[in-house]
Amino acid sequence: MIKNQHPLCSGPLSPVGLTRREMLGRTGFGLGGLALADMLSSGAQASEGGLPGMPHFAPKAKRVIFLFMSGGPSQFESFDYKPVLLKRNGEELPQSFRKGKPLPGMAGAQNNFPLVGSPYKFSQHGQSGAWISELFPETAKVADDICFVKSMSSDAVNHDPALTLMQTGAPLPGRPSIGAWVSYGLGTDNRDLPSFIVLVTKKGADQPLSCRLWDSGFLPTQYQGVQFRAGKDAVLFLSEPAGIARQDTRRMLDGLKELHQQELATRADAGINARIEQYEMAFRMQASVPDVTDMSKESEKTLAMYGPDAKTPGSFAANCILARRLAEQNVKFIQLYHPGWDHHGGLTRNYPSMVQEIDQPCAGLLQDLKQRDMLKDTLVIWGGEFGRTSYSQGSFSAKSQSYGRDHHRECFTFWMAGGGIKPGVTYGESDDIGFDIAKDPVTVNDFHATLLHLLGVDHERLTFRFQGRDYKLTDLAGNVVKGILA
Amino acid sequence: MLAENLVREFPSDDAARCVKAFRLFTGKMPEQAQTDVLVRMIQDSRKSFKAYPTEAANLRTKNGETPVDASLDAAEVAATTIMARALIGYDETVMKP
Repeated sequence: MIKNQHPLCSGPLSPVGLTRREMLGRTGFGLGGLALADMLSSGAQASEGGLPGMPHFAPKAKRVIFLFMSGGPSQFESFDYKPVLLKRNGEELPQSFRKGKPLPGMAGAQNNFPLVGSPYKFSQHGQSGAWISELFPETAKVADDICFVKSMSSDAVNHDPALTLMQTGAPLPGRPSIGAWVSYGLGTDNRDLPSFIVLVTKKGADQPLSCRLWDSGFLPTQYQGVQFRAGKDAVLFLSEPAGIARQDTRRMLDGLKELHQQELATRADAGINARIEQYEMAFRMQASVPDVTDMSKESEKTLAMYGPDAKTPGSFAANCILARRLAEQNVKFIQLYHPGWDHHGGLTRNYPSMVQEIDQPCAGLLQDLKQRDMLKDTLVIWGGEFGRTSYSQGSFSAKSQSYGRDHHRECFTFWMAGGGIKPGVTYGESDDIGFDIAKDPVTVNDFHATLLHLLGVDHERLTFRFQGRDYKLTDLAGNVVKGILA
Repeated sequence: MLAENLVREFPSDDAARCVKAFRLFTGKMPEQAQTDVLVRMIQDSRKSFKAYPTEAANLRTKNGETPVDASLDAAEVAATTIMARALIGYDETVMKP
């Protein structure tokens, strides 16, 4: 049986029989190999145009820019105005909120949990009257383009699982990240660039960012995110070695492709196909990447919109400009990371400088997209892996600058704009002290379902068979948040 | 380096260079179809490097740490380098089937 035909496959098996890799792929990893063999035999459609039948319906967003504030930014110093908290400054967190359970964060061993109001002034902005703290004057100017979601929650209490959950839909590593799902399902609108690109602010990171956050997991590897860096080579090892002419590399790649196609004919292995795709992509990127990363084409007027860091390579501002340039080239999923938001202590010392790095670039990005008529089909998302506690971590005194806020997963704030999102609204509410959600909860799965919906994808129908079952980004949960759709 | 060694060992036998290189990279003998692809790569590259000798010279001198063996034919070495470069990126070189 093994010699000629796989028991579950109608097509002929490799003339050399099952190799070690096939054995692992088909038995260890289950039926995924069979689905893949089908996919491969129908041509390399997936990497160019996405899966057949996708998108499921007309998309509102053609691309996504996810501005990720890594570390867990406080919602109390930004967009979730809690005057009650300020009134009760220093009072103990009422037992009723703890519901008899120990607090799950890093401060769990503290004896006291004094409530802390934000020392920053809040005021209302725009027609929508959004409450925004004085630390975000630029974001305040574009308040009417933004939908604030004040009722986000997460399952994970520490950075790595919470980041992993936000990026892959599961707290344990191994699942494909959002961008990989999107490029697997929808393919690419520009075959000269990867459809999933990652930009990390060049600075010291308080919490590590691992490249498995933009991994393709069990999806074929050509869907993984590609990190662009600041500096001479935006993509490491992409340039030709010195002295080698491009047509000589082309000839080499033509031969290599032929070798790989011969191998693929004897063995329908997604790994070989990914290798062919990636060599070809790299060759095209040798031409496209220097062009798209060339900031010298940006006008002074545009640079000014993104603030004083715009000309510093690798800054969040520069990455926002690059994100816009990539969006113009129809890159589908552009993931930014800005680390530095894990303020367990010294909140009032450290938080404002973080905000200064991102406030104007975020607002500039929205305005720039808008003036190019791209905001209408570009979904921009701002948020972190969780929020912060309404009580102080460390002892609190209004004079002391030492206190911070602990991780808080029960309730925190995201904002979204453009690409089919209702502008100038606030969705969901936290309770009086911002501990729990008071109205319209949004889980991470709901967020993912909504994101896919805006891209024209039914999250229930974007699946990949792995280890004997169909996996989804949202797995077994998630509902589209209709209240934020335009 | 590898290309120079191959040219030195097999001065006028393209197929022998390819079989040797394939064995060094993958640990096994190539099928005839694989050898054919590799030989064609050398032949096409040889033609190109003979037409554009500076490309061959650049390829040999602008990178690498070992001094170039000037006694060897530049187009031969450059063409063989292209073949070897393909094998470095070949699936069977980095994966164990």
